[in-house]
Amino acid sequence: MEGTICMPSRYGRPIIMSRQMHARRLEGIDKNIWVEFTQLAADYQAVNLGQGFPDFAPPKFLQEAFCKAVSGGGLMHQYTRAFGHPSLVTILAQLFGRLVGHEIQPLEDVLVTIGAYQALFCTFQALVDEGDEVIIIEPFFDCYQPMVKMAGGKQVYMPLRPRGGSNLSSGDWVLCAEELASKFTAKTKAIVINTPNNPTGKVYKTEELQVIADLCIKHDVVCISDEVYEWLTYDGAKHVKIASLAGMWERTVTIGSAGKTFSATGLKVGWAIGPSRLIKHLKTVHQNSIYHCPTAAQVAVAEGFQTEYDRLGHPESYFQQLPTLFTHKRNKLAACLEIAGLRPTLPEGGYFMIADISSVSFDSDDSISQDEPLDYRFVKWLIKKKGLAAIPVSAFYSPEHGKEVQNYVRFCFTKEDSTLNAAEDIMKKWASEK
Amino acid sequence: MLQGIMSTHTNAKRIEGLDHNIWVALTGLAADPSVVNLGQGFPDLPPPSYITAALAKAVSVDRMNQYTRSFGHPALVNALSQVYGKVCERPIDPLKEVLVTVGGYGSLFCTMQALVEEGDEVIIIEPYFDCYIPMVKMAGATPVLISLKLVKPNPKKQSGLTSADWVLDPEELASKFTSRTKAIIINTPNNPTGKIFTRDELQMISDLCIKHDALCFSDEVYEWLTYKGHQHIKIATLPGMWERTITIGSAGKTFSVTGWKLGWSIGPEHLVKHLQTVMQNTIYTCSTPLQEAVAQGLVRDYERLGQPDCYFSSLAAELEDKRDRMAAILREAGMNPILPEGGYFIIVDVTPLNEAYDLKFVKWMIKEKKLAAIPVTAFCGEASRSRFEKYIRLCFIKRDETLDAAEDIIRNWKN
Repeated sequence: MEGTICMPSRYGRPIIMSRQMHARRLEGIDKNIWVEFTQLAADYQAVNLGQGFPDFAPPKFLQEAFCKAVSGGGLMHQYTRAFGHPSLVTILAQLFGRLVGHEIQPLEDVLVTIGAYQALFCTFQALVDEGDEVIIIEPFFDCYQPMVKMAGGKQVYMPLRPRGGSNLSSGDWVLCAEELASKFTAKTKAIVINTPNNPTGKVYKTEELQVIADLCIKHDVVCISDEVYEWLTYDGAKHVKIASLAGMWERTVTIGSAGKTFSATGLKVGWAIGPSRLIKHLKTVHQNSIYHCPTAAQVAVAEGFQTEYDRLGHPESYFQQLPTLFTHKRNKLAACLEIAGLRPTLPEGGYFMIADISSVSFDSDDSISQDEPLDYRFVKWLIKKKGLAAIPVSAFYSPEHGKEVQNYVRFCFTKEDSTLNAAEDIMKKWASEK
Repeated sequence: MLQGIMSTHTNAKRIEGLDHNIWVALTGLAADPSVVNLGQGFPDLPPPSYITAALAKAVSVDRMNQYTRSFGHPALVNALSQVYGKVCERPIDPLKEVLVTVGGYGSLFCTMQALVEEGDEVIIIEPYFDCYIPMVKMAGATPVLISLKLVKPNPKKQSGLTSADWVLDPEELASKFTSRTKAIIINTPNNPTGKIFTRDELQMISDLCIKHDALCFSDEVYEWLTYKGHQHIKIATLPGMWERTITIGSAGKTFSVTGWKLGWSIGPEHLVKHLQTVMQNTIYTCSTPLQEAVAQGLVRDYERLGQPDCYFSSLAAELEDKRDRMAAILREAGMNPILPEGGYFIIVDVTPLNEAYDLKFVKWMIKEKKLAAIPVTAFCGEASRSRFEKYIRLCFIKRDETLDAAEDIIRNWKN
């Protein structure tokens, strides 16, 4: 019988559970690329440029703020306000109100969540119903697809494509306006954008966001804008908030992350900001799923933001220093990938760069299945034979389109110099063996 | 002035009607610093110093500030496997049979989303922790309620009422199980009554679960807070129950750190794997330094399990005194509190105060008497309102000064 589980019992007779226990909303969302590749990287003790997290310390002022909060006594270790600690929602409203050019009400327009991940979850659960279409621009951060599915929505994919030519920059990956327009139907509930983009590093320009905004307004669609890497733009690229465009505040949920902002991904503090008309529904999901976020971490993040707000735009600002530091790391990694014959696309922002592996030859042995896409096979070979971990970019595409785009691999460059040096050694050695 | 088209974005159906929440209203009122807050359940006592020290230490370790394992930080799931393996007297696989979540609340959510759907019925025992109902509804299922009922006290009984006097009618319970019953939720020790389900009561529930092939979601967040003469029993340890039970625990309640929001679900792999799927598609991972600190706290107390200097025992001893004191304060004012066998709440019939009942009474009490409590009707369905409307719930995991202030207010009530 389908779904029957026959359990051995301590008491002699088997215990039959004859029905399917799990809910149907889980169907097709149980697989997860990270579980497989993190395990593989760990097994082979690879230099890990796979998963996106810094392997260096968060800034001292943040660690100190956290320690101060932890030793704060009193109610620092008890429940705080469910939708966000007062000092945190206040500073978020202040800072982002300034950036978006629209007054933000801290208690109405802001929801604090367990990382940007939970903000995304609350948004989809709050606004997407069975049969609603959600446009996802690919390549996309992999969680959007299962989250839309779990909410009963239908994913509609819209690819970024490298325009003809050298394609050396993430700015060369663009949307075709006519093609994008064709994706909007009467059933479209939302579009998800991510800028700076994971995995390409693309930083959408105002004109590109305007094309999206015009369509959102025309079709009365909600824009879900994942801006977790908003402070990480390079070579003068400017991060533009789609919520700041005319007609967009009222239909945009903007998502951010303390983990990415302060290089402390283990903090798991994120937020969703938007008109109360939309945020109130995210709050309903939040109060019926998690309810409260940890207090001390929120206090620490609030203090971190206050420190940065006071020196916004100044050279001592972490938001200035970090992108400068990362520019060097980005350039270093790009150079060493080129040594080995990969062709990196230089990212304008974010944590990652993708590299074209078409020109590279590798000898995948029997341990790597030939049925898998080229980029999966290359990454597994790279981990097992060269001790370097990366992520195959087709994992960030829909099943339909992933087959067409098998020649890119994603590397995270926000790592300590020693990690990047180790990667460089591996690449140099590989190049010398050719 | 920006003018856009009037947007018609409605909320998804799954949250229709779930926006109302009594806590949002009442915590707002009780936030006034002049109010003695015995309402929301959190300690105003400090947590044990070793646990906050463990967190301060974890925060200063660089790699503890980055992502950890999605289903639970290795040190924590290992510690949980150790503690609960001993308590349940069975080996528990830390990777496959444990999931770390955002509080006990997060475990309840993962459990519902993983295992409950449209067409299912979920049996809930009144009075219940209020989130069970909206979570069942959000999962698309139907809540089926059954009330604990006050057994008529023996007139010869000298002592007052206790939470043990609130029981389920076996026939009524059996009648609630249908072919659509997916699960029953139990909460022991119980919020708000403090009832600790006896082995016989748990056996009765088990028999029905097995007979109807239903699951059991056992909310045991107050598991360590049991008072003299009472023992917490895990329904998962009863024959035939491990394979169909998810047991939920909470670091917040265990270590008096409700603001840490860490909890866990423990159960058989074939059920926990579905909760893990929900986790990887909702939160992905919980805070690393918090998990590291809880792991260290568990290791420290595991070494002392059963001894008086184990925090789990010392907290219960401390709270027993507070429980008795709270009960005495209420009796002195002419009321008959229901003495809880466990947990950190006490419920009492306020009729002798000769005022209105229920939410109206509580709001008046907060405003006029500067004392906050929660009406027990917050924990029951419409149909049982009249059975519970006379009761309020008071939280006694509070400093002596807080209890002193409460005593003053109650003693001087008639003034």
